[in-house]
Amino acid sequence: MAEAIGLVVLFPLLGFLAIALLGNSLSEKGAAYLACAAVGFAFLSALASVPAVYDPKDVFLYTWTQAGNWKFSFGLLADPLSVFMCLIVTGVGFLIHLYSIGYMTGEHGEPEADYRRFFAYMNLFVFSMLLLVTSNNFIFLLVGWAGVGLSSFLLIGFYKDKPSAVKAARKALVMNTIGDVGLLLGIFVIILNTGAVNYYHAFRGAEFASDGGWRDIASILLLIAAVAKSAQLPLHTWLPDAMEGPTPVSALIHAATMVTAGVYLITRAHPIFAYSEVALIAIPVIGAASAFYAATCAIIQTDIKRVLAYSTMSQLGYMFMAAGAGAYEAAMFHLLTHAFFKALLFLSAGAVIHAIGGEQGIRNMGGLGKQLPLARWTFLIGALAISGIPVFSGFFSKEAIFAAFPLFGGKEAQVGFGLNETGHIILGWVALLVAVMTAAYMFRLYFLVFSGPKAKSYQTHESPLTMKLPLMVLGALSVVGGFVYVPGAYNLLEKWFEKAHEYVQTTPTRWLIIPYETIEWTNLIGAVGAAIIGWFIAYGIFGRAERVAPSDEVKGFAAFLQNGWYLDKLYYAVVATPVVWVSKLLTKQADKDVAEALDWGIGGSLWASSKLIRKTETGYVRNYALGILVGAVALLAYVLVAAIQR
Amino acid sequence: MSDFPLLSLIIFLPLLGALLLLVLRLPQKASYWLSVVWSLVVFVIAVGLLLNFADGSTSGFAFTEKLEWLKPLGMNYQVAVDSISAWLIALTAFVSLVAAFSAREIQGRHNYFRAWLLTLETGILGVFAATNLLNFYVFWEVMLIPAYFLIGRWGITRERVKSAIRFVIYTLVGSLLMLVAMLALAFLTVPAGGQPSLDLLVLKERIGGLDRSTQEWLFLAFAAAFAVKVPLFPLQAWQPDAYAESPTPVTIVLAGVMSKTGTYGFLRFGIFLFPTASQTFAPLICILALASIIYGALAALGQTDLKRLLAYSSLSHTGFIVLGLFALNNQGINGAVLQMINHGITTPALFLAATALSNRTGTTELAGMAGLQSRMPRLAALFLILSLASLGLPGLNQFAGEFLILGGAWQASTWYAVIGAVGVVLAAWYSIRLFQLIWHGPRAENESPALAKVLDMRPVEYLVFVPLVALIVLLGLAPALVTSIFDGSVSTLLK
Repeated sequence: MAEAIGLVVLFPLLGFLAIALLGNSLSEKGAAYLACAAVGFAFLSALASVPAVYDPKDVFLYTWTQAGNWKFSFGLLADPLSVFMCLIVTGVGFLIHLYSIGYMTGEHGEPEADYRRFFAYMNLFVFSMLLLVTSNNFIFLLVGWAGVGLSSFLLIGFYKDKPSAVKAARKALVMNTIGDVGLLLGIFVIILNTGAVNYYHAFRGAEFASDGGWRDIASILLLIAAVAKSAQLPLHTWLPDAMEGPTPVSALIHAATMVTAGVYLITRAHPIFAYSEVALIAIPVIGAASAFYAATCAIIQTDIKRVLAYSTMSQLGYMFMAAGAGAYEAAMFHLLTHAFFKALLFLSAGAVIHAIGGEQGIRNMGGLGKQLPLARWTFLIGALAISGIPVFSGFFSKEAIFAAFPLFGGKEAQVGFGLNETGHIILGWVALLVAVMTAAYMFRLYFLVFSGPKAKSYQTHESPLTMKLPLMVLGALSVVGGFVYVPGAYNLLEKWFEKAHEYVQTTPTRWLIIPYETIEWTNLIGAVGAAIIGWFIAYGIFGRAERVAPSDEVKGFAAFLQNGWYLDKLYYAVVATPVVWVSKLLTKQADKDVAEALDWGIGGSLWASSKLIRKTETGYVRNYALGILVGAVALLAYVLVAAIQR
Repeated sequence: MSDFPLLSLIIFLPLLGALLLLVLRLPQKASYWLSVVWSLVVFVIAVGLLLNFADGSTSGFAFTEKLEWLKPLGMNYQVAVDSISAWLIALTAFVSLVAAFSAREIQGRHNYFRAWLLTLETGILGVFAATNLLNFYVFWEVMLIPAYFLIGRWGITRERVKSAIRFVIYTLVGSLLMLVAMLALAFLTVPAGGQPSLDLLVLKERIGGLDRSTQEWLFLAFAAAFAVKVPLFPLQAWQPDAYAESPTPVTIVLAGVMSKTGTYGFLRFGIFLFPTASQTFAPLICILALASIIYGALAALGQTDLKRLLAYSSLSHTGFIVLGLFALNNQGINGAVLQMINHGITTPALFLAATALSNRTGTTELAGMAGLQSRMPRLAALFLILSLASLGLPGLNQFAGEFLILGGAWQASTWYAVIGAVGVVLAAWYSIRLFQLIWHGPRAENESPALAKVLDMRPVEYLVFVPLVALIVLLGLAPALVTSIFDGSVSTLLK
């Protein structure tokens, strides 16, 4: 039932409004249950809308704006892609909400400060993401897009008295706004070339557009948005800092909502991206570069959540690679399994942090496996899944991505242009290298946290059931979640996504289907081998008794990696600092009454050169203005006299 | 009914109220309620006027009234509205009502204050309704006198007289140039054996007879007056002081609607009256508009005073309106008119919220505020919504305007839209900086002791802010409610 998609969006919105408006008249636990129920019902509604997968349609339309020949409507779209995303967002989102009930409760069962506010923001976050994925047009995609940015700002800065959280929140919002603006401008290009913002009409228009050059511009602008939201190079620096929020927020940002939006956008707008040569080269290259960059940074971080943050960026790099190569189905598949195992990893990490009283530095952990068996096993499952060890979910989805990048060639550019064979080979090997590094940094983290000697002894306390249950469910999903596609056997995704490309296009599509008939043994052995090599490296250095201890104070190359190649510092130096400097200068000048002189153009330069002028500057401008006044009156008199004489 | 001077009633009703206040000399409370009820009546009638255009089918002038005055010079009293001016009249009545409502306690001669405020309303309403040039000019100057006294006598600090004088000088210079141009226009366009006319529609017919450079000079003289009023970079020096110095009821009228008389002037007496010259100068004005956007945003980013920051933010936003106008296409102008209305709602709301805050903290200096969210969570939430509206969050009202403006600008030149977009990013930056400085972070060390027992929002404040926020959300979700009404007028105007 396609209309059920409306309920999917509505429930979290109502949850947010109810918690926000009822305020103190709602008990703290009541707010939490309400928030969970809202997302839970949204999930049920998403299940109810599954039939729309085979019969996509637009529902709930009204005119949003009208100006000349621009007349755009709001509407929701129920189609394979939107239902797929809704199921992930509400499903994983629900588990994270449930987990938050326990996590945001202190040691003695007392709710943390601003408990209600937290749940209101969480529902707002889920609502924004759902609007983003269900909108049937680019404008409300942007509304959801910005809503997600706003919610992340609110949640990253949730510990509002902490200066670092405040700063991280602001950075996230400003960088996301850069993406929003890219999307906005991209929308203009689409409107002017197809006359529509509605996906269906825009993509149909794109298909029949005579000159396709505009697709390059539109793709680049949309890509700016995707890169900012999915924390890919070069707009990624907000993501590591986003760890300032509570851990469930990180899980929500990294698994169910927010960062996946970029991959969604590229997949959604594939009729535009897939016909732009620039995009077909830029997206996989950005993806591979981000995957590699983030892996190098992850390997040396000493904060448990920062490792996971960089690993998200790295995994999203894989998704970008796939989407850029036309393997949208593989990208969405990895998005699905990643949602499971990344949520699992964050929530397990959260269980550790919660149990040992908020400590996040891994040098203060170690040997926690015995005290926290559930967290240990679920974290291990997550690590195995992300590394791509067979039968765990990540194995299948990585396999699907690697299939698009054969290591020894044999694959021409899929769509006739874009990356050539060599390009595919190079990116394939980069992906393989990243796979080694992924296994290495994940197991480094696992060994340093759960095994080996204890750095400190903690009085751990038992996690409540609301935290345990989501861990178990996500653990199970991380194991079996990949079985929607089995190489050599079957591919359920093909059927699911059939209408995603047929709905919008009549000509043969550039949507690559994950091949399942034959097994690509070279890729399969390569990928599994990479994961095992990574594990051995981690075991060799960190897994044995006399292991290398992590340190915060690193120098040289290690410091370079730990600080994210100093890109953040570079941006501050090149962009933020000059802007702030100029604004301070303007403020100073304007406040010192000099604007007056500057505004008249002449006074300003005189003022700058001489302090004498400054003393008389006010009078000077007045005289000047008076001169104009007298002149104007004289002119007026002249015109009147001239008129009367006529 | 068609002979009933509805428009004149709306325009002069506030003036009548002002006279009544001066004659009756009521005590503070009675004069407050009289002015509120009076403004409410004006607002209701103005909405009634607007409803006549609700189906969006009327695209030309209606409700025309004409009284002959100085026939040989073509000077008549002549008012009429189309769906654009009907909206702006309703907006003016709305903002004036909010202003009257917020002017609860006035220090000093309160009857005079409220009388001047109502007179200012008459001036602004007249500007939006005048279709005779001289008539327009008279209303234009009528705005100046009350504004001068309101800033100069009831301003907040001792700098107020200086601010008021600066405001007057800037405005007078612009408006005298406009007066010269009006008269020149009337006499230069007299057809052989005909009469000079100052009627807007007659002049529109005759303007083609002038040679190009004359048209351009006349346009520039008009533009000077409008650019000062908006204000447009580099003529903005009067603005931050005037906004920051004025008591809040005055600030919201200045920022909310008086700035729109400038943008409206650009539209009606610039683009409509001088289509050729507008084309010629569009690039120049767009560049000045972009300069306003960026200059205002950068200056706002560095401010340490709440009201001055909002003043600069307003400068940046009115820059967007001018940019949309001089994109000279349907989308840009629709967006600009929509943004006049949006900005007329958001900016007064922001200044009111800022005042609600500074009344509690006892300062407008940002340095004295930090981490206030736990003290006043509701006011913080309100402030957040307003900041988000102001930074153009998609889904709230200002985005709808910016969307059309930048869409129009993109068609005029890609670079206009790209630079405008930089302004959008800066807006996010300074708005969020402002929000966080006040509400987040560790509490300020030099926090005012008054804050210890400060109260969150009071019921009377909800009465003002709930309708404002409702409008902000509604116009964000369905801007077509507004644009569909004046879309036809914009097309007519561009023809």
